[in-house]
Amino acid sequence: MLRFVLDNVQDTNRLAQLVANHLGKGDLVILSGDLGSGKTVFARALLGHLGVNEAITSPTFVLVKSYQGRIPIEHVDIYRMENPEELDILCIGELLEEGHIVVVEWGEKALGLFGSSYLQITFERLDTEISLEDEIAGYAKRFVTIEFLGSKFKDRISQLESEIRKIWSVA
Amino acid sequence: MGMSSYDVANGLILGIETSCDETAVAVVRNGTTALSSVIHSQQVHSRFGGVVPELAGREHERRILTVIKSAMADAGLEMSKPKLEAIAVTMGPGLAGALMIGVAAAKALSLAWSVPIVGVNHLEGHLFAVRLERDPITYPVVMLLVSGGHTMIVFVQEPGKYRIVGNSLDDAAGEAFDKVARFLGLGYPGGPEIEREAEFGDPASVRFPRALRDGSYNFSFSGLKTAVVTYAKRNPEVEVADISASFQEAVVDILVEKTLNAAKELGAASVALAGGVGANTKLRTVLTERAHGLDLGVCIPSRENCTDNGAMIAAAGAWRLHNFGPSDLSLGAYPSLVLPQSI
Repeated sequence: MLRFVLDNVQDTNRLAQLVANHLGKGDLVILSGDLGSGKTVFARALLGHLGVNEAITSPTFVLVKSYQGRIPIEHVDIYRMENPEELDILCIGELLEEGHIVVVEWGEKALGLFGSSYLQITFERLDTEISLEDEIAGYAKRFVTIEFLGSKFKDRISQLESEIRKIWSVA
Repeated sequence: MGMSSYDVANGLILGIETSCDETAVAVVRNGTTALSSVIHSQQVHSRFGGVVPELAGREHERRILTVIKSAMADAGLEMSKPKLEAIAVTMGPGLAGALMIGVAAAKALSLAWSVPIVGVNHLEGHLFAVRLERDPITYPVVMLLVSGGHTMIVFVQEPGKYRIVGNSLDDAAGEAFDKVARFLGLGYPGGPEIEREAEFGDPASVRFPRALRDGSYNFSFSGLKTAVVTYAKRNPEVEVADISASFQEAVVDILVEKTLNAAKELGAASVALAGGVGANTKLRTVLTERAHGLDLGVCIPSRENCTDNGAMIAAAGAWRLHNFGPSDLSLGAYPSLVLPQSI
């Protein structure tokens, strides 16, 4: 488990780029954290670094949004799902099997249903007062925690870890 | 076929819309008068708290023929030999599996009836909803297009000539409503739920920040959402109704202010509203009042014409047909289509 502080949106973007470099076909990325903790900002940056050119909006209204990056990518948000056990309806397993990268916001609501292999990135705001102007300008600080499950991520994570340690001080 | 062979005068256009969770079909005369408009809103999504693409496609498939039949019947047209000028259909943007159903239906009818088809951009469709209202709108118009998926200000010089002058930098307004509603323990979809709750609250009880007072016409609703969540967590004693009313007040204030600023600075003759969030009473009232105060014309389409519907697709299709002729039968579904900007 890696845990460190992102100072601003530039940091978020840099982390997204590092993570994107290590993602490939059939990878599942789970983004966790409260409303406003920075998941969607990270997701948007991640999709951008995966080669998505079009505007990326939050998938809350439509639960699954499909994009074409260097490989097909699905952006999923299950915040509003009352019964995570109904997750099947989103066909995440099939999409992964077809080689799509799937990025799920609020995936912690259904961790047990995602099989044995995923990368989980959790965001937490540091509880500091910040003006809305600074918030929008991207100056809110947050803790980020990176975990994974499954052997397929093992080598990639150790590489990612050494890249991260060059930039941030990791707990 | 040249454009002159299509005269919109007295032409009847069938409009088919299946881009998201509404199966909607209408018959429109002259691109301005709806003879019928049938909208089936899919209920299957409510228990999931958002639109499930896989289900949307399946539901459209199940309903499309019934909805087409009732729209034709309501307009007094026979299914066997209808007198139609063309069939207009939403080709994007939207959900791939949902769009495909509408496009396939349009093509099948086109072959069966020997009637041309016209592919319509869903966003352009929303911009044409104003033409379905009784009073003609004076161009140029600044249109506020707000829905679950879009929040944009579009300068419309005249039909077909658009420039997007403002956009959401993060969440669409409708998404902010949905997320805040969920956080406050209200139901789905969030817009109507917040609106209902807000009736019992005091809009002045919390002064939520008005984001991006930077002179641009862009929006950021993610920051406002975070502000509401942070406030509610720190002040658990404050009533949900008061928070709802104050949040709605902030959203409406931001939307209306940016729209009117754009209208003034771009020299528009009128302002207009489109999209699902355009059904919000507070937004309709405040935009109308403040636009009148500035001597701007205002067009607030009926709620039915603000949300996704077939009539707006037929209206835009009539104009497309008249100016550019029909699409050919290789027409596909284009989920990531953007609004063409020509000015």
